[in-house]
Amino acid sequence: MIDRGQTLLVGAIALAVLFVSLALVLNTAIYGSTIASQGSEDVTGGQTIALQSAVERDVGFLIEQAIEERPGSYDTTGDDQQEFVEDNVSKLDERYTQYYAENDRIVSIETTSPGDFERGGLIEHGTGTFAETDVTGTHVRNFRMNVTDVSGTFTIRFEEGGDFWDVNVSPAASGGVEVQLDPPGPTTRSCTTSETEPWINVTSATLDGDHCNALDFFEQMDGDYDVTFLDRSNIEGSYSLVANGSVTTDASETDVIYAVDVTLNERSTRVDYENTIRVAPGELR
Amino acid sequence: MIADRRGVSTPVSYTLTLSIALVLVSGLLIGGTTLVGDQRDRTMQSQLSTIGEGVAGSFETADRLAASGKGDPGEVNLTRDLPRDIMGTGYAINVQSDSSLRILSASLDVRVSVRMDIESDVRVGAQEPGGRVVIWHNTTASPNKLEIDDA
Repeated sequence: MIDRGQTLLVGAIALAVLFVSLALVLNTAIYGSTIASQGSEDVTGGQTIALQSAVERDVGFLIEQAIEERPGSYDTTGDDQQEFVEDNVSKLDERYTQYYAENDRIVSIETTSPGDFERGGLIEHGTGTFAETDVTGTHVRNFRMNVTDVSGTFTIRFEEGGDFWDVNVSPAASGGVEVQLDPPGPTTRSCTTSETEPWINVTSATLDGDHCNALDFFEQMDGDYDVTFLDRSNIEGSYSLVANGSVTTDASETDVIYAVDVTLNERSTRVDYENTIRVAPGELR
Repeated sequence: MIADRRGVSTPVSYTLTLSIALVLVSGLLIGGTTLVGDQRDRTMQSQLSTIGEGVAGSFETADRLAASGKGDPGEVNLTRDLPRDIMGTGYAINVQSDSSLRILSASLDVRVSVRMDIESDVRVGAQEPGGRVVIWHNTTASPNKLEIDDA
């Protein structure tokens, strides 16, 4: 015969287990929606940043093209570099509007000459011993050189507020070329190539196509700086740079576009954005 | 009749049985309640943290967009849809002076803190209940601030 006490015990435990199970099953924590997946739809801020990068890249390309297709005519009336960029930015604007409209975003870009354009000087030296070059109160972009012969140490001095950043180009012990940075601080750094006629891209910080950390210092200069060539007799080759400061040089100098201000506008259900961005291809600030 | 002493212990055995049952059942219920409570807290914390990270991400994006322009910072408004409540409980977003966000649950006393990596100033102490919010760059304030408001 089953004891009544035992029946009571089993019944009570069964009830308790039932209550606890119900509590677990009905616990709203289990049914909480997954918020992370909802959040991932909101990458619109990131898309705006991507749009900004695209505009900088596209307009930068237009600036380079304008300089190449209309050399020497920065702001002659009609048919000049500014008109080239302005017209093509309008066409680019139509393309952007069409493309982004498919994603429910209204995008527009515009630039107006001459107010949005900044003049620069394109300094070019084709061959032989480097010409005297002095630029004050400037930023530079697209500073490239091709060294054909270096017999001693040639220095490009960047001076900002009394601090000197010396880029020294000299023959390397191995027979190639060495680039060394002598910054305001105590630590110098250098990179070397075995190539005897290397290309040095000062603003992109590459030596013969490879990254050179000795040239990675532009972002440490905050404001305008001066650029001077020292001991030019030690080096031969070609170079070119675009500067927006006051230029004194024996090399050839032509007026070109240095930078363009582009007003970028984006509207969507999630983002309202309007800003003016400065496009200066090949410049590091 | 055979001597039978067993009848005396029946109430005693009933009492013992019931006491044991009571203890076991109480233990089970207490343990179960604690388990469920902990689970709710953990889930709440994780959900609030996800929301906080999302809002912080929007702040950082707005900061970057505002700073990227030339001259005067332009107009930046980012809209986010946040859930109105978490597990049936409301919550609020509080902007702190050290550029961090504190997300507070209304009833369960769960709070989460999220750091933001931004350069702009923020409007401190804004407490926004969940829902559709807009994170925007206020250029009329001096200095310019990032703010969060109802959309």
